[in-house]
Amino acid sequence: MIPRILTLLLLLSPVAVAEETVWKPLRSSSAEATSYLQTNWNRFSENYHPIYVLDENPRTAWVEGMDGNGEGSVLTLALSAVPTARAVRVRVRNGYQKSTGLLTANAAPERIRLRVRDARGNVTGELEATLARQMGWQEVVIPLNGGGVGQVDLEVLSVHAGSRYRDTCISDVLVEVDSDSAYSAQAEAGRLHQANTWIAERVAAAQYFAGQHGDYPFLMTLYPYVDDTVDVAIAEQLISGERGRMEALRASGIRYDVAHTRRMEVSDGSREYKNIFQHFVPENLAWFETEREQITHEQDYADWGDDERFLVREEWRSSEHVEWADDAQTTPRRVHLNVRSVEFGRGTYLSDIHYLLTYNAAGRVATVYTHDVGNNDMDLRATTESVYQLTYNGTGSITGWTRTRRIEGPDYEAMQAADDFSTVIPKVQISQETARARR
Amino acid sequence: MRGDRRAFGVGLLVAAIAVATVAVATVPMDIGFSRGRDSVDEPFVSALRCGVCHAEQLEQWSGSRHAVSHSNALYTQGYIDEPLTFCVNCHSPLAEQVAEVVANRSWYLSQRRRPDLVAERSPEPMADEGITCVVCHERAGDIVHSSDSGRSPHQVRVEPDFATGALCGNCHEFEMFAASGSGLRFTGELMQATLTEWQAWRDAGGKEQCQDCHMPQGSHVFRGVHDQEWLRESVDVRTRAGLLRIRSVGVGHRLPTGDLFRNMTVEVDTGSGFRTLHRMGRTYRSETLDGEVVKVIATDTALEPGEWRQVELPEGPLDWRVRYHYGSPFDEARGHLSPDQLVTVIAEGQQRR
Repeated sequence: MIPRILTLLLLLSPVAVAEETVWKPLRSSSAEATSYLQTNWNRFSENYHPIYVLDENPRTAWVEGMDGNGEGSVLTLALSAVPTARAVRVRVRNGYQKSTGLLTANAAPERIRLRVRDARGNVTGELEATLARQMGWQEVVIPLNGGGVGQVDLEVLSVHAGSRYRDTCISDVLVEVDSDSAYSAQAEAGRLHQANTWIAERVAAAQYFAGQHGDYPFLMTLYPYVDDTVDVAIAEQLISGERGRMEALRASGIRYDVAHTRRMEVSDGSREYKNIFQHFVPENLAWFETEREQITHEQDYADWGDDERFLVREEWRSSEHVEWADDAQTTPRRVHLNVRSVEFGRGTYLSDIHYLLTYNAAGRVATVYTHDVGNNDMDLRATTESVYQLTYNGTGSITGWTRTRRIEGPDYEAMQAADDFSTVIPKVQISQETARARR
Repeated sequence: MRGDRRAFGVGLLVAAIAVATVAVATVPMDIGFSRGRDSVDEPFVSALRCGVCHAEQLEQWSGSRHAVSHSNALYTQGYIDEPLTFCVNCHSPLAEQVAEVVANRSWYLSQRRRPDLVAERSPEPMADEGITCVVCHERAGDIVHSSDSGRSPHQVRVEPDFATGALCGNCHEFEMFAASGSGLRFTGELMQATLTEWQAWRDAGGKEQCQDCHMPQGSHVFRGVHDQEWLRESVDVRTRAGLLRIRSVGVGHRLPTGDLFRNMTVEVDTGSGFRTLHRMGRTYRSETLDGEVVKVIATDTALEPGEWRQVELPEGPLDWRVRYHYGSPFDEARGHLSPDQLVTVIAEGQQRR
C-alpha cells in the first residue's frame, strides 16, 4: 500500500508532472571561425580547424590563430533550420582536452557570448556565460521563447591564460534544441557523418604524406597571400604571352594520353590544382600518342533514396599536347590540357579550363597558365586567366609564387546603375598576389 | 529587355492572334512579362496602397504564396544556391524589386559559405512584397483587368485574357537554360510546363481556367500545394488487395507540377523505417546541344489528370504514406530548411495483413 501512495504522490508532484525536456542534437557538416592556427602540425587541416569542435573527440580542438590570446574570436556553427524552439542548450568541452597538461598549457575561453540566429540570420537568443577550464562537458541553456534556430555563434570575450601557449582552444561544442518543430535524426546523423568524413580525409592525407618528401612540394606547406600593386600593362603582356603559347601548342597536331607510374593523392589544400597536380612530378608520368580528344568522362550522381539517380556533375578531360625539351621526347617543356565540367542545379553551369604548364631546365613546373571560361557566380559567364610563376629553393621545394589574374566578366554595379540587367556590361579586373611558403 | 520590349499596341495584336488560334494552344498574353527573361517595367506601388480601397483582396493576397514569393525560406535558399536574375524576374518581377535584390548579390553569395565575401544585407521592402498587385494589374499607368464595372475611380484597361491561363503562363511556364556569354541561353526544353499540361487537359475536355481553382470566386488567395489541406484533398488514395492506388482529384495539370524538383513518394514501413516504393516526378540527364551541355528530362512520372497509378505493396502488415516533397533530395539532406518546410504527408494508413 505504501508504495502505491508514494507512486501517487510522485505522480501528483510538480516534478513528476512536468515533462522532462528532450534535447535533440543539431549537427553541422562544417564550422567556421574568425581564424584558426596554421602550423607545421596541421598542414592538411588534420587538427585545429574549427570543424574539430564537431567531432565529439576531446583529443582534437579548434585552436584560434589570431595574434594575442584569442579574445574577440568567433566560432560559427551553421545548423539545421528549426522554425520555433523553446531553448537551445550549448554543451562545451572547454580548452584543449587531449590531456590535462595541454589543457593548462593552452588558453581556454572564460567569458563567452552565445548568440542564436534563425535561418535568415536574425538574432533570436543571446546570453553571456562563464566557462571553467576543466576536463569534461559544461553547458549553457539559452531561452528562445519560440524563436528560430539556424546558427550559433560563440564569441570569446575573455580567456583563462595558458601556462605555455597563448592559443585559445575548444575541444568540442554540441548544440541541442528543445523544440516541437519537425526533426530528422537521419539528416542530423548525415551531417555529422559529412563532418567526420572531411576530418577522416584530412587525417588520412596527413598520415600518407607524413612519409613523403620533396616529390610533393605543393603539400609541404601553406601559402598565405599578399596583395601586390599591379602594373596593368606588364600583367596584360604576361597573360597574353602565355595565352598565345597555349593556343600555339593547342594547335599542334599530336595528342597524348598520359599514364602514371606513381599516382599522388591530392589533399584539400591543393583543390585548385587537382587537374594538373600529377604534372608537378613529370618523372611519374608517361605520355603516349592517341587519336582521342577526350580521355575521361566522369558523371557524379546523387541518389533520390531509391533506385533513381540525380545527375549533379559531369567532367570531361582532354588528351594532352606536349612540346618536348629533348629530341628523345622524354622530358616535356610545355603541356596543354583541357578540363570541361558541368554542374546541374535548376540551371546548367559550365566550366571550361585550359591549362598550360611550362617546365624549367630542372624539369620542375616554372609557370602555370589557366584559361577558365565559366559562370561567374552562376549568373553570367566570365573568363578568368591566371599565370602562376613559381619559385623554388635549392632542394627543389616550392617557396612561393606570384599569381597574376585577369577576369573579364559582367559589371553588376554598372548594370545596376543602368537599371538594366539584360544587357551585359563587361568589366576587366587585373590583380596580382604573392604567396609565400610558411614552414 | 527594356529596349526590346514591344509596345502595348503590338501586344494587343499578338493577343488577338492568340485568341484566333486558341483552339491550337494557349499562348501567354503579352503584357510585359517575359517568362523570366526580363523584369516587368512598371513602377513599384505597395499593395498597402491598393488595399485602401481593395481591403478584401489585400487580406486574401497577404496570406497567399504570391505575397511571399520572394521572402519564403524555400525560395531564399534556392536563390542563395543559384543567384540568378532569371529567378528574380518572376519572384519579384518589377524592375525596382529586381534592382533591390541584385544589389544584395554579395550577401546572397556570402551565404554560400564564401569566406572571401563579407557583405551586409540591405533591406528589400519592395521585393518582400513579391507578386504584388501592380505586377499583374498595372501597365503604363492603366489598371488592367478582365472586365470593367464602370464604377472604378481609375482607368481600367480591359483584357479578356486576364482571367485565363494565358496570364498565369507568363511565370508558370518557362524553358531550361544554360548560362552563356551574353546571358542565359534557353534550350527549348521546359523547366516548368504547367500551362502546357493544363492545355493538354483542356484539349481532353477540361473546362476550368487556372483562376477557377486557384482564385475561387475571384479571391486573391492563389491557393496551391502550400495549402496543405487543399493538397490532401487533391489526391485520392485507396489500398486494397496488396495494391495502393492513387490519382489526382480536380487537378487540371500534372501532379506535381511547377518546380522541377518537386516530387511525391509512396513509402512503406514494414518495421524497419519508411522506404520509398514509388516516386512521382521528373529525373534529368545531360545532352549536348550545339556543342553545349544542357539538362533534359530523362523520366517524368508525375500523375496525369485523372490517371490512376497503381503501386504494389509488400505482403504483410505495414504502414504506408504518401508524401509531397517541395524541394530536391539535396534540400532535404542539407538541412538549411526544416523538414516540415520541405516535406508533408498527404495520405497515410495501414495494411493489416
